[in-house]
Amino acid sequence: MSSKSTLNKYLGIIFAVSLFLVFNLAVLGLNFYTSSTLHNDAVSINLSGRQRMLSQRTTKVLLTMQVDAAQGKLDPKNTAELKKVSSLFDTTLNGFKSGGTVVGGDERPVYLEKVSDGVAKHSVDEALRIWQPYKQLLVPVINSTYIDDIRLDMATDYAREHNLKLLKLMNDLTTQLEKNTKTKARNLQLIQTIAMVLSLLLFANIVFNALRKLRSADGEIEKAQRETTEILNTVKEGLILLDPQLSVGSQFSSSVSKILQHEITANMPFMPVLEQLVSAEIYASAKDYIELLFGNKVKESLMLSLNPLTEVKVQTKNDTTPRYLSFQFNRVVEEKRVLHLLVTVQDVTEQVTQAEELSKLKGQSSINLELLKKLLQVDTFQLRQFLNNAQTGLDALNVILANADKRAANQGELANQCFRIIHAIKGEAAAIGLEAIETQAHQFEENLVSLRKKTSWDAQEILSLPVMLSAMLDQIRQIETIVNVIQEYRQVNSSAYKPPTISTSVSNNLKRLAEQVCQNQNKNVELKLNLDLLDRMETKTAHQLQQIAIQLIRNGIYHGIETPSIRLAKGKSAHGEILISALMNPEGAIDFIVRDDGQGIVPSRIRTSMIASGRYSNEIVSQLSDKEIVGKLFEPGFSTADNPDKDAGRGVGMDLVQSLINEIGGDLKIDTKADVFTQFAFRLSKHAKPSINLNATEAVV
Amino acid sequence: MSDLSEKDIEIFIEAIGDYFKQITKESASVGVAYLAKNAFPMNDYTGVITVSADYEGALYFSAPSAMLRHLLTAMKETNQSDENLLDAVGEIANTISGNARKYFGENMVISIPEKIAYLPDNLNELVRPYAYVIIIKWKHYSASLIVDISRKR
Amino acid sequence: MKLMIVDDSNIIRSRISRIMVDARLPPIEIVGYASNGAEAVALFIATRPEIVTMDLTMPEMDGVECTTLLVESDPTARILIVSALSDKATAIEALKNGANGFLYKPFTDDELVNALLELIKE
Repeated sequence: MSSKSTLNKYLGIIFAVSLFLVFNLAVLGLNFYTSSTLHNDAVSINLSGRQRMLSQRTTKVLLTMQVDAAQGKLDPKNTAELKKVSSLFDTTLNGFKSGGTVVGGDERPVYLEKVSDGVAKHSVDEALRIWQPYKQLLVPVINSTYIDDIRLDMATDYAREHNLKLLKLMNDLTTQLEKNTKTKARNLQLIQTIAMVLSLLLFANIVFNALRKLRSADGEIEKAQRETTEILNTVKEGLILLDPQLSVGSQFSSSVSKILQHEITANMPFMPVLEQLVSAEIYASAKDYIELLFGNKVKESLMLSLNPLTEVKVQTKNDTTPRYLSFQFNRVVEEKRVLHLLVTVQDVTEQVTQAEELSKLKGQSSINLELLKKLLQVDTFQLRQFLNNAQTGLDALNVILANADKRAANQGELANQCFRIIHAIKGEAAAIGLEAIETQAHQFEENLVSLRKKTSWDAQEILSLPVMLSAMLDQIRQIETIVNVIQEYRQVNSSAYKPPTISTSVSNNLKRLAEQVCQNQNKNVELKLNLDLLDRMETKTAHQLQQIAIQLIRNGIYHGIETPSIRLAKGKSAHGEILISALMNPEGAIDFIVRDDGQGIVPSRIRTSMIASGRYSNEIVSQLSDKEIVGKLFEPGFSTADNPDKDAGRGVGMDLVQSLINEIGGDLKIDTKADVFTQFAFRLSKHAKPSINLNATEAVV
Repeated sequence: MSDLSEKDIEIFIEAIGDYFKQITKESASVGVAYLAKNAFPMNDYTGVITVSADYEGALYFSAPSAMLRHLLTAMKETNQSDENLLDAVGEIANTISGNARKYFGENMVISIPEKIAYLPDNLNELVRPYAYVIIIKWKHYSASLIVDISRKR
Repeated sequence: MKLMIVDDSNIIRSRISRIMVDARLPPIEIVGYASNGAEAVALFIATRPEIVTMDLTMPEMDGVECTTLLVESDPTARILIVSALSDKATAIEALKNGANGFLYKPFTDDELVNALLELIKE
């Protein structure tokens, strides 16, 4: 706070005090004046009282002298007294008349003021009128050295005649003077009282104002202190003030003990607390860092960026899981000296672990007990085949990634290509029950779905593909290692172990898959399989057919087969039926048929779902012919599923079927009838093209 | 085991982008990214940084000589001898891995750069089953960043 | 003021000196170049520079160790670390051992000039 504002703050009080002093000086002056006036008045009253006495003394001496004279005596003492009292009376009376120095009661000269008010003046004038002849009559009496009866009698007679009158006049004068003085004293008293009251008021005002100012100042300090305490009690962050001795200051936020899991008290050394919290390496860095901060040689901005205590991992004995704390240090500088460090501590566990979990989820590849059990159940031959397929697929995916820019393919097409590969792996993984890989593939798919929507990918998005690929390859490699061990073990223990036929393993896979999807979708389906022919086909083709079957089973259950209650309402059996067969026709061509007795592919229903999905407008949907609508099913990204899950909804299944058929070569014929059946008949040969019959009366097998 | 995430790898990419942006005011970008265990896209000059402590493996930055010459010109370096081109590729590798320590921490100890001309496209002794290959684009040039680093656990 | 440039990269050494010349920093005169810590110590004793730009990752002797030795030899020497090593612990260690500033690679011309001006200002 500057001295100027201090001055301003107290200007009011200073002014009031000055006024009070001036006023009191004025009252004091008035008092002096009053007391001096009253002193003069007292002299006048005193002397006027004396006049009464003197008049009587004069008369008394005269009468005494007359009595003495009758006896022939003349006492010079009496003459002298007469002279003294009469002259005293004379000078005093004249003093009253026109002012002057007279002999006071104590024989000393005092100044007597002339009377000013009318009544007193009248008394004095009247007295003088009586006194002048009296005085003339007294002069010969005083001066005579012998007994002068005549003159004495004349004076005595005059005295007798006028004495009472003179006494009365002097009495009147005294009374009047007293009255005047009383009035004056009363007035003065009144003025004094008023001045006193005013002065008191002024004083009260000063005191009141000063108190109010003080109180408000105190209040502000108190308020500020209360606020500080409140803040320190309520802030989530730990706040500590560190002194250069690295001790905790007197004020710190109450949350700090909780955050640090250590009782914090004023003046306790801070570093041991920190030492217990963090690793030795970080502690060493932090110690150097704090010393550098107090050294104040290195710039604040550089120091801020070097703080080693950000998102630092701590685990006290009270923590069941590790926590993450961020400390921030700010210099409190005065005159280039660092007085304190303000330390802010925050628990950032949530932010850190969230980010950690997120990154963990993506690159995760873990072998758990569940997976091991599965691996032991599944036939190793089949597993190996799956692993080979997956490896081949992922290698192909990697080639697609590596050549992404050479072929100048658009990003959407790139995502779709990857999608088909991953979707196939996902299907097969689900079929043999490798949930771990299925989940991984599903995550990969989700990533691809979000990438498919974007026109350009940033670095992280581009990188996410090889990272996820790497995680899947890693998982496959680990499973392969385990499979090797299992196979070795089995070979040692039973040399007679024979791998099952392809048709058996494919049948098992498809049954397992159907069971799983039914469970997920709450539907009942009986799978009827006739796949012996697969044993006579190339393994690769058999596998491709399995992949087609996987996709069509998923679709059949998800879209085709109705729920048991709907089926019953339609007069069908509660459980649906899916028939898959590989048959050779008389010409020697192979037909691969997947047929379900579900609701059929109904263009009007697809239209409704397309509009309901919000991805297609009314106009577009109404412009398409029924065949075009069904053809949509084969477009990548097309789906009428409400909630995409593992079983359906990515809009990639039919796209995959199409590309598999293209790979194998042959014709696809779709026959369907509303509420009765859907049949996919694939005749294996070269140059495949789907043909669609929406109103089949009976399936062409 | 927690493998490198795309965020981890992006750190190196950011460092390269930053390097080119700081020196030439034109950033570098990612072309494609994939996995490889052989047939790496090696260019004329390669800078190699090996990492140790909590990490193992190596980082390779491989650039064609034309790109490095262009970079030296941007730095107003007139001496474009083989030695200086190698120096440049080593310095880039060093800067990338040095900058990445801000993220990975001091426990990723990095070596001084090894600079090699015409490194064969097969690397022996990968620490990963597959190394990450990221093609970096700057102007019309392509350089390769090969990340064969994994966390030790 | 005498400046010594320590960096194992030839192009960085020549770039720093070129930036000095281009920026026309007349009070700074380059008295020597060293490509590792050991060379730097010898050159420092011979030329007694007041300011030093110091790389950290170098063969023979690294920058932190070299900084410690230079500051022991002349506590008034001002040392600017110019390194790509961006972790906090390294920077703190260098500053603790006597370095006065830190400039991260890659740097622009202006960043280097500003860092050096900051260094000689104090």
